[in-house]
Amino acid sequence: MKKLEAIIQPFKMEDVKRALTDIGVTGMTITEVKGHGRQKGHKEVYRGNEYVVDLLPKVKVEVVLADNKVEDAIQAILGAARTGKIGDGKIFLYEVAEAIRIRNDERGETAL
Amino acid sequence: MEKLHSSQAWNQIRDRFFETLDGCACMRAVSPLVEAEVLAAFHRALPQAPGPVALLAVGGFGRGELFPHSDIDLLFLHADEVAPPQMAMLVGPVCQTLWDLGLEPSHSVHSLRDITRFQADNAEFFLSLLDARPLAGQPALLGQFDAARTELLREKRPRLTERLFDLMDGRWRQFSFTIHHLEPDIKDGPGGLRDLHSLRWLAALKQETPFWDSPGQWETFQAEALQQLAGIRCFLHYQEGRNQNVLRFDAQEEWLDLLCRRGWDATQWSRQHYRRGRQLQRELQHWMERYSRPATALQRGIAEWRARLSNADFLVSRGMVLLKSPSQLDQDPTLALRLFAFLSRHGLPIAEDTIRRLRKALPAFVQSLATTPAAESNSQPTTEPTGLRDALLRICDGPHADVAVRAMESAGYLAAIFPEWLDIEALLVRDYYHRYTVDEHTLVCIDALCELLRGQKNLDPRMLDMAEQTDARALLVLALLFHDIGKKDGVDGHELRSREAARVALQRLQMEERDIDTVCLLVQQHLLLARMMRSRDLADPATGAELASVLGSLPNLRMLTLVTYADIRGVFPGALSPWRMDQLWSAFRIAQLAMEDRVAQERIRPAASYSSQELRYMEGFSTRYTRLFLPAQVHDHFLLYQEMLRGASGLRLRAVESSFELIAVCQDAPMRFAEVAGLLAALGHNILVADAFRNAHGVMLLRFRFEDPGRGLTLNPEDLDRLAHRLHSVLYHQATAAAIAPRRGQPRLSRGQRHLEPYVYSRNDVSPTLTMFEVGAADRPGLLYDIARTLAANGCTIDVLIVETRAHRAFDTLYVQKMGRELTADEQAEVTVALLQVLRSGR
Repeated sequence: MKKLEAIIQPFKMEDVKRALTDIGVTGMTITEVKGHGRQKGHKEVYRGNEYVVDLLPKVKVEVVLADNKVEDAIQAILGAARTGKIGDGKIFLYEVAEAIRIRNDERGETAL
Repeated sequence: MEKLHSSQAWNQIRDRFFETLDGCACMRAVSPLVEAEVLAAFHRALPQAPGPVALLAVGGFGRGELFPHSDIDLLFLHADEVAPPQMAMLVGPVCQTLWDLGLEPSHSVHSLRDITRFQADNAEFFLSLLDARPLAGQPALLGQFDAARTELLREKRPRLTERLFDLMDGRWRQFSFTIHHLEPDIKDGPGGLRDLHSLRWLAALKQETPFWDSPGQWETFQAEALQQLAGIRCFLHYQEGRNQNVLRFDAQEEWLDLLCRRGWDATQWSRQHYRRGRQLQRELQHWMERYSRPATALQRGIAEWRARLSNADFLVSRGMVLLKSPSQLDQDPTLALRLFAFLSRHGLPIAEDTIRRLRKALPAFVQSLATTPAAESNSQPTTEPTGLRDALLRICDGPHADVAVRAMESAGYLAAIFPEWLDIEALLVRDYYHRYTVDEHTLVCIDALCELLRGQKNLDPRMLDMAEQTDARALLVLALLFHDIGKKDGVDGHELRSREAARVALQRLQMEERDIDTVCLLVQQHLLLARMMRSRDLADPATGAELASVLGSLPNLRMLTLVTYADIRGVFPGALSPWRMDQLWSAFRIAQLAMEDRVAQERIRPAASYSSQELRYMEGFSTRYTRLFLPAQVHDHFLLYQEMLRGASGLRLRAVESSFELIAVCQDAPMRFAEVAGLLAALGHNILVADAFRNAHGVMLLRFRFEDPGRGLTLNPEDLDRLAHRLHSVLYHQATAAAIAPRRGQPRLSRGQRHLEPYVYSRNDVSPTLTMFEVGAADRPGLLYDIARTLAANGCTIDVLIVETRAHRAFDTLYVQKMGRELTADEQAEVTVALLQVLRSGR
């Protein structure tokens, strides 16, 4: 099993959600986050006051998947989240040791 | 041991409840069933009692009102000579038996001495004694208990009352003081069972009957409220199989379905539930106001200080507003509107007693709305549409409009003025993000907006800045008032229905058409920014262009941003997270930048609604011109233009409300705008708004709106002609302001203004031919003249000018060019330095 963590543009959240659902991913965790990669931030001047916008709003999508579904999920996210501009985000992949369903103690991929 | 919940008797009670939905009958049947088991367990364990003991039922059990899965509240009482640890021999077996039966005992062990020693930090226990009911035990001990309780209540009545108020306040605080939760807590929430019992306790402590101003109401109210609340709570206990008292969405649907199958109207039932809950909460509020005292010297001092706000109509007592002559309400319906305006101005809470008097006078007010007497003066009793409109605008424009609107809503005046409000009263729209009913959400939105408009310090500085720039407070409040009215027919498309409702209501009040349009735009588009935040790239100029195209002007964008801000904050506390705030800001900024570009780039093109001559006159004006002026005004300007071409005067000067307006059409020439601004300043006039537009043929349209602080123009109408003559000389005969009216020294800034640091910010990316300067500084006479003169001295001509003043600050946006092109970076720097030097003078 792998955990896939994607940091994407907020306006791409619905598209990504739909793309993952279309390939059969039913569960996901979505968090509103702020941060920056290469995009860094910028400084804004509004009515003479400077506002530093160094952490930009993003959305984090977390999904745990069976190994054989990982590549499909990556492709789905790439297809849905890409605009081609700086700031599109990143995908990170982690190994998952175990998944346990709290309700009935079910374990492994069946618990996903 | 067989669980009580599996017994035949238990199941019969359950079945009977689902047949009748009679919660009172259910809890009164559960109580003796449990009591029999408790007594049996007690008597079995009694031989192990260490001395004289007694058992009492307290809480709901004490009242004989036990819900299916409520805790069984028991008080084990022992004589003073019995050591408390010895009681374990009795208490342990009793509780264990009850646990084995599937019941949940909640017990306390006290000596007789404990009852006589009042402890303020354990007030709940002493209050529970009010409902204590002896079950078994030594009669002498029970007799002593009764005497001790009577003595305690006699001696500690004020302390118990105060503590009860504290407990209520703490409980209400957890629910943001409102009953209007989509998922109400039937037991602990405002208007819930705990409140009903609190009112009973207060009645017992104070030996008075609730609703003392409506004799006979209490018994009926108590019975109906208990029946309604008990029904839901029994249902929840049976559905969940535990002591769960929050009416969640799924349970709500099932409960309302049950009611519908028995011929109830679910909507009416819900509305009745919230109405009765509010009535209960208000009655408790009434008791609190009557019997609680300011706790600290500071609170007393503040209350006394506020008393100085009392006037001929209203009395401020203990920090609350009361009517000096309540009977006046029947004779003068406008008194109520003056009261709401007073609340809006001072932000003081209205006394519940005043709310009741307002409610009693409501029929007279409604009658006055229908009869529309002819008198116009505010001092006379009239609520004809224009009088009502003006009063309403005053109320909505005040810094504490939220306080006033809530008072209007509580007293029923909001629904009297806007019957549309009834469409959303206690309206449940089940949405996992929203916490409140639609009416409460609307009022919370207005609270959030007013906090911002009042400049509350802990709020986002960007939004505070934006709020400070907004003059149309009343329109914002009205837009929020109507933004969700259309939800009565469902969420989909509600913004359009809300817009139509707003239009009808505001037309009924005879509001100005332009204001109605603004409110309707805000209502219709109140989801636009939130939608963009979710689904559009907020760094893409196309997003900004789309927003700019829908909203049309920067003031509209600002107002919509404020409405969106308030709308999100009204969803639930914390809904506007820093993340969402940044998103909202990004949406605003991308649209603002697009609008600045439009002002600079978009020029008026031929359109069918204007004649060819008018179009020639308008050719080359920024599209802002047609957004600022109505077609009739444009036609008026065109007539001035023709007069100018014929060699006559192309200016018009007139009084507009409390200020004056100059419209002038003239040939563009260096310093012309600056000289007009200079002349007005030199004569002591305070420029509030200024706009300048230049067409493709070198013709300028100037609009100044200014105040006359010296009242010379107001008191001497002939001075208006003299000023027009002087302006004519400046505009058409190259006279200078200095020659006509020399300035008398440099005006000084007030102490409050001196700390305001001026700023100049320039952008060169708005258009290929224009540079934009944004200038902010402390406002003073002659400021605009100095800015315009500095620009002219640097060889710049103004293409579009937008001036705004707000209190002691001025914000100017100027689109300028130099010899038909934008300024170079060096030239921008030079102009910036020169402007800053001028702006800092007088500090």
